[in-house]
Amino acid sequence: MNTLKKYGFVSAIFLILLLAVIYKSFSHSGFRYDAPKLAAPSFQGSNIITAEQIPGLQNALIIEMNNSDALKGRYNEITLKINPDSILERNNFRKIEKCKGPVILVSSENSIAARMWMLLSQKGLKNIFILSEDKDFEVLKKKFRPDSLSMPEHI
Amino acid sequence: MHYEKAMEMRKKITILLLLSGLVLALLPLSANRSFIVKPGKLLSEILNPEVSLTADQVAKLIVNEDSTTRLIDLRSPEDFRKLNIPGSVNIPYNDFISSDLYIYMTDKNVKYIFYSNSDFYSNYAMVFAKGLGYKNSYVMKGGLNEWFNTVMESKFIGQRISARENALYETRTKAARLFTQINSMPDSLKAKFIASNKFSARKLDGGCE
Repeated sequence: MNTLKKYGFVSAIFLILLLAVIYKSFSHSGFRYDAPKLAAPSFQGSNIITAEQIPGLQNALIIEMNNSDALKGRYNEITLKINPDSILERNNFRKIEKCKGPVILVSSENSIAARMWMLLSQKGLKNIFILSEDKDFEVLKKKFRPDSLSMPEHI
Repeated sequence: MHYEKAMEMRKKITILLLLSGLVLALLPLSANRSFIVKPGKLLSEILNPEVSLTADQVAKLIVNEDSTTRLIDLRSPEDFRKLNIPGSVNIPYNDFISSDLYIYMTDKNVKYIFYSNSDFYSNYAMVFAKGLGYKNSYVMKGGLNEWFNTVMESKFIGQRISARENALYETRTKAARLFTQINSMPDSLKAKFIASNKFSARKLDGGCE
C-alpha cells in the first residue's frame, strides 16, 4: 500500500497510457488490424472450394445468399439463408462467428461472395470460404488472336 | 535530503519510461493498415450497384478516353504483357494488398476501376480499398472473360437496329479494335507502351536525400 502511494503518480500515468493504447488497438471501427494479413488466403485462391469438397468438411456452415441454387437443395441441414445486406446483423453474425468449422459463402454471383469474404475476413473471422462451381480460379477462358479482327476462340 | 529527493524522482521517471516502453512494445504492428470505415457503412457501400461497371460502360470510357477513370489490372505482369485493356496499369493483386495504397490511388477525383480475369481479385481489391477509405473504387463486372463475351464477340443479329443498339454496337466495335491494335503490337513496342503507363512511386515530400 505504501509502495502504491509512493508510486501513485507513475501508476496513474501508466494506467492512462495503457487505456489509450488498448482503445487505439481495438477500436478499428469494428475491424481487426493488419488488413493485408487477413486478406492473405485470397492470394492463391485457397479460400475457394467446390461443391465436391463439402462432404469432407466437418462442422461446416453454409451461408446461402441471393437465392443461389448452386447446391441444388443439398445440405439444407447446415445451411442458413442470409441476405448480404443483413450479414452483419447481430444474430446472423453471431451464428457465423460461433461456427466451429468452415463457413462457406454461396451466392449466384461470385462478386457478392468475394465482397462478403473480404468483409468477414477483415472482421477477424477465419475459416471462411467461397463456393465456386468453377474450379479454375481467375483463369482467362478466351484466347486472343493478335493481328486479327476475327472472333477469339475458346480455350 | 536533496540528493534523496532527486534519486526518488529518477526512480519514478525510470519506472515510467520502462513501463511506457513495455506498452509500446505491445502495440500491434501495421495498425495503420486496418480498415477505417465502419462495417455497416462499408457493407452498404460495397452492395451499392454503382460500384460495378459493365464491360460496355468500360468500353465507352476507353473509346471516349475518359481522363477521370483509371483501369487497374490485378493480374500477373506476364498476363498483363500478353493482353490488357488499353489504358490500364498493372498492379498484381498480391502487391496491391501488401502495399500502401496511397502509392497507387493518389487522385481522389479519379475513379479506379479494378479488373482481373473473373470477379474474385477485382472485388477483393475493391472492398479492400474502400475499407481503407478509398471511396473511389469500382470493379468491371465479370473481368476480362466478360469483356471478351460482350465487347470482343459483339455481333449484331437482325435486320433492324435501333439508334441505341447502333450506338452500343459502335462503341463495342471501336473498343474491340483498340484492344486488338494495342495488344497486337510487337513485344518491343508493347513494352514501351506499358512502361509509359506504369505507376511511378509517389515521391515523398521532404526528408533527407
